[in-house]
Amino acid sequence: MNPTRTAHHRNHLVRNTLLGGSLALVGALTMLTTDPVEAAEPAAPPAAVAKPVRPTTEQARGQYLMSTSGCMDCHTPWKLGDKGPEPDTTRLYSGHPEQLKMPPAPTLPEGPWVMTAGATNTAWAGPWGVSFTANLTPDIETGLGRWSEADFIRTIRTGRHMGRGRAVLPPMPIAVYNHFTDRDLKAIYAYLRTLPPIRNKVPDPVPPAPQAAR
Amino acid sequence: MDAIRRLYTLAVVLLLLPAAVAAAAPRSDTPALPEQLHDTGLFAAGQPDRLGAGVEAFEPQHPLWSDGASKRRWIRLPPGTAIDARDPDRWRFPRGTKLWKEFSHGRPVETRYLELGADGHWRFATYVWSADGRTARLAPAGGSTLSVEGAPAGRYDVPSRDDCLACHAGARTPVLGVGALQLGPDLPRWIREGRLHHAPPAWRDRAPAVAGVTDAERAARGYLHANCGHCHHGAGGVPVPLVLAQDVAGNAAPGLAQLHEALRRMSTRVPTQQMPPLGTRIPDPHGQALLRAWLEQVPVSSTR
Repeated sequence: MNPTRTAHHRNHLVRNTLLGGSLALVGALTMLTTDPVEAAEPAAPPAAVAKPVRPTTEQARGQYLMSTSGCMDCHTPWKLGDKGPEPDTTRLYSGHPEQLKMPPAPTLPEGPWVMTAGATNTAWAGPWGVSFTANLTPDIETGLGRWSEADFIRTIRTGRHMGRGRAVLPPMPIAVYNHFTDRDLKAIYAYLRTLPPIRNKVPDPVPPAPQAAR
Repeated sequence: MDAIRRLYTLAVVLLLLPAAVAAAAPRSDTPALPEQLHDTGLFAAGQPDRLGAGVEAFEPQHPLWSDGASKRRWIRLPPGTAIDARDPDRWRFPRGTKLWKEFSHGRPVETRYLELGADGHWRFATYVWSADGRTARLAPAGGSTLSVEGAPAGRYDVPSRDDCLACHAGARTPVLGVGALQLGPDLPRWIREGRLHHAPPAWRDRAPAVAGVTDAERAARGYLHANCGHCHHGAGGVPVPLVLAQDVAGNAAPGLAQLHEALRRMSTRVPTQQMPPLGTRIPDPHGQALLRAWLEQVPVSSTR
């Protein structure tokens, strides 16, 4: 990541965030002064009555960004449904299923084909070895439960886990997602924290076979 | 009436907006990093063979492995200032502090530079030496790879500024080589010379040492502290339940299984498994030997 661009990005962000905040403020104040609808709503029901938690504006935006940016394609395992392949939403964003032990990736002949993917879209083999998509749910032991917002943002910005660990492997399109603004990434993180935690330990990546062994 | 209220609200916000943007935007009065190392204050003006005023060499007790590069280090505190050591594991450096670390493979290759600005923010840069050793120029922010005789496979990685942050930004203090455990026998002298304020009185006579029952344990834990502890410190570093940093007051040793895994990770350079994850191309034989020597002494009963 080019820090000059990062700095530029940050300046841009500060202004965008402020501008966004100010516009939101205009909206909020305008509503406060003109819109009586909120005040006319009935009082909230007693706390004991279960009520679905409405996502915040930020969480909803995070959900929107993830659903329009292809995150589901790889981080939720796919299954064969009545109408063809579809994401298995009982495993929402929980990455490559721990129980699905993949056999060795097929060896491709010399030529322009370089990559293979498992039927779940969660295991990928290529010149980098074999990578398995991560569990993004907030499970403490196997997901992003221990990750802070800063850890998440640094990962996407730098292409390294938490900005300081191992590199994030293909096919994760870091070069696309590091164009998200900090505000976008905060929204995505906020949404990720609302997911049901799923205990699913994704296997470690497998390094490529040494050249001599091929 | 509503229209008047809306207009009034809009006017107030529009009036406040420019001031808010100006207040939040980064300050532009931070000077750019010098293009030449000689302009950072490391050397006396016009005398590249002499250190600048107030520049002091130091040597950590437990060095970081850097693929066999030999290293020299210097620090400069602004005149009349001192490091605040009241938190013994998180020293606070005065604004204007500068540090340099020179990496050599037979000849100087690069000199890394840390500076705590007047705005309270650390800046990181590195300067690459010309082959004749006469000048060192600010390296690209994105890093680069050089051909350097004596480096592993003749390749030498100059870190990007993000790489600098990878180790320095998440540590308990961004300065990794200057601390109570790292200065060791030099610590009492630093106190006498007024470079530390609020240091525990006991340090005036004797520096604290890395915890351990045997010399082998102390050496191995000191190595892990210096080479792993900047991320694995359990206080907001990496979210992994493994503490390899040492507290001045001493802390529990990691479990045997964790130490064997640490040894495995520091012995490989498979990119997704190697530790540290960046900064080296080959494992450190000395570090591996230190850890093995300690592991041979660890009684089985201490397995966790």
